[in-house]
This record gives sequence, C-alpha cells and structure tokens, in this order.
Amino acid sequence: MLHLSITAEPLFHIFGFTVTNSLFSAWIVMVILIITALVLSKNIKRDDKKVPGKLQNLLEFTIDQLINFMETIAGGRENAVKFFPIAATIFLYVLLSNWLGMLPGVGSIGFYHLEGTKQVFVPFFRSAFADLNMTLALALIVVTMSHIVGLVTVGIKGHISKFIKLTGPIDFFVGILEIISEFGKIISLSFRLFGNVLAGEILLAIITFLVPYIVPLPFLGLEVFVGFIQALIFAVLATMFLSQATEAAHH
Amino acid sequence: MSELITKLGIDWKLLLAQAINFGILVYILKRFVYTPIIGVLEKRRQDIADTATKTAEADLRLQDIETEKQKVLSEARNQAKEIVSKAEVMSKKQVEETFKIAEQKANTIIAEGKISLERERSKIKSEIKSEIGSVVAAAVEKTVGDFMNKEAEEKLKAEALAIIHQNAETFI
Repeated sequence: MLHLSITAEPLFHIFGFTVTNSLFSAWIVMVILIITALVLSKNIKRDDKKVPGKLQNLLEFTIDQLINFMETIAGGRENAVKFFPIAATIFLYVLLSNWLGMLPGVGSIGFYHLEGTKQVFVPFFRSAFADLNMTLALALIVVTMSHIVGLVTVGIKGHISKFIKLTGPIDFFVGILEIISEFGKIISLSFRLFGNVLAGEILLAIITFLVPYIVPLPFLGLEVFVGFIQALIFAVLATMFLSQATEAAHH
Repeated sequence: MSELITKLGIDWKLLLAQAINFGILVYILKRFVYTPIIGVLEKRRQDIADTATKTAEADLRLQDIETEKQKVLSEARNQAKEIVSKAEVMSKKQVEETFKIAEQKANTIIAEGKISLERERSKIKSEIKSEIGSVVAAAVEKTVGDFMNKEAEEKLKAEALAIIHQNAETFI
C-alpha cells in the first residue's frame, strides 16, 4: 500500500527523546558532511605558495565562484565572506538531504508498527526536509541570526527603529508591516522547502506506485533539479536576509 | 493553532535538535573547510593585489628613471656643446698665436738674413777694392815702371787708387 505522511514518524526513543526518521536521516547527512569535511581538511594545503592539488583546486574554484555569486546578493565581498559559512552550510545540508532523500530505500524500507488495532508502516529513512520541524528550525535560525547581525552591526536603537517607527502614522504602519514580514519570512522559508520536498516525495511515490518502471525517471530528474534549486533558494534568501540586516533603516 | 501544530508534527524538541545539528555542522565545516580555503583564497587575492601595486610602483619608477635619463642626456649634450665651442675658441686663438709667432720668427730671420747679407756684401766690396787696388798698382808698375821715376810712379798709383776708391761703388 502507498505510504504517505505529512509528519515524520518516531523510530525510537533515547532518554525520553523521540528520534524521528527525518531526524535520523538528518544525522546521516551530517555524518557524511562531517567526514567529508575532515577528509578534505587533511588534504588542504594552507600555504598559498604551494600548488594546490586537483581536489583543492576544485574546492577553491567552487568556493571562490560561490563567494563571487554571493557578493552580488550580499552587496559586497566583506558581507559575502562573513555570511558564506552559514549560506554554504545551508546549501550543502539541504542539497545533500534532498538528494539522499531520492535514493531507493528512503521511504520504502521500514517496519510495521501496531497503532491501536491498525498496522502502520514506519520507514527508517525520510528526506530530512520533508519534515516541517527541520525546515522551521532552519528558517528560525536564519531569521534569528539576521536579527543578531542587525543588532551587532547597526546597534540596538538602529535595529529596533526598523520595526518601531514613531516618526509618523505611515512610518508606524510600515514598521508594523516589517514586523509581520519577519514572521512571513519564517513561514515562507520553512513552508517553501517543506512543501517542495514533500511534494516531490509524494509525486515520486505516486508515479512509482502507478508505473514502477521507466516513467518515474523524468520525474526523478526533475526532483534532482528541484532539490538543487530549493537548496540554492534557501541559501540565497538566507544571505539576503542576513545582509539586509546589516543595513541601517531607510528614511 | 495547537491542532495545526500537532497536525504538522511540530515538536520543540525536534526543532531544538535540528538547530543543534545545524550549529554543529556550521562549526565543523567552517573550522575544517571554509576558513582554510577562504584563508588561502584571500591570501592569494592579497598577493595579486600586492603584485599589482608593485607593478604600478615599478612603472612609476621606470618613468622617473626615464625622465632622469633624459635630463642627464640633455645636460651631457649641453656640456658637450659647451666643451666643443670652448675648444673651437681655444684652437682659433692658438692658431692665431702660432701664426703670430711664426710671423715674428720669419721677420727676425729675414732681418738677420738682410744684416748678414749686407755684412757679406761690404766684406766682398772691401776685398774687391783691395784686389782692384793691387791689380791697378801692378798694372801701373808694369806699364809705366820703365820710363817713370819712382816718385811719379807712386803718385800715379795713388791717383789711380783714389779714382778707383771713388768710383768703386759704381763698379761693384
């Protein structure tokens, strides 16, 4: 029977903490990224006079291009370099989670769990960002970080004056809109990613359920693309929000 | 609202877990990958910028050297011109002086020559005179010696000699 669920299913409990299948998948993604980072770190020559190896060359080229790309969004190299670690991590984390979520076995290997009188299928793996907790957490981090960055760069007074404006009724209303838009950012960031990944999963599941061979392939390709685009969008928006926060209020 | 939250499966513990996951991931990736690579990139960028500045400086210095060279060259040219003109003046002067000295020397030589010539001439004159005298005396003796006494003979000799002496200038 086709398995579809909006929420992640609990797998097991550690000291009263429920580990869901999406969190479990997120851990796997994390482990892969961390191991890759450690392996890369061993091969990186920190001396700029030495000729870098092929791998480092590729890495340097990619990072340089990404920073150049971010410069156009963040409005300056300083900001781009400052926010690069967060944006790049979001990108890699989301991208790898999305792509690993399409591997065979994700959503299909699991166990049956007795819930009341009903047998419920619980897959071991679920694409990490097909869980609102994951996307919401990331969105909250980005928006909170943007406020911290704002407070640090333009000061408490400067930052609060972006939202509470007592210079006139129109300004006051604009301030309220700004406050609402901050919540809007959280909701749009989290639901966009969640919706896209979940929709992709459901689409693939339905297509595979209906026609198991050949036909799902274009959709799989589409999902590879969507996974990349969503990761990029999240990272770009994060960069935008963070760099916007460094600007003083417009008058 | 709470029903929506339950339906969407939002659980603050999972939110926190995910936030922590992300934090760890950012830290590790930053520590082991981003910072070293960005460090290398920035260092290289700095090197390139330094090289560019150095090149600009070198260009500037090259320009300075070129102007200095032109200055030195024009100075040298001017000096050379000056030296040549001085040399010309000096050589002219010297030539003039040499001419003068030569002229003077020639004049003195000519004058000396004239004097010695004059001396030679007068010497020859006197020699000729004495020679003519003796010849005349001998001629007088030979022609009139047989028929004239000694006294008259001497007188004739003296007269002839006197005439010769008087007219010697016109003879010689």
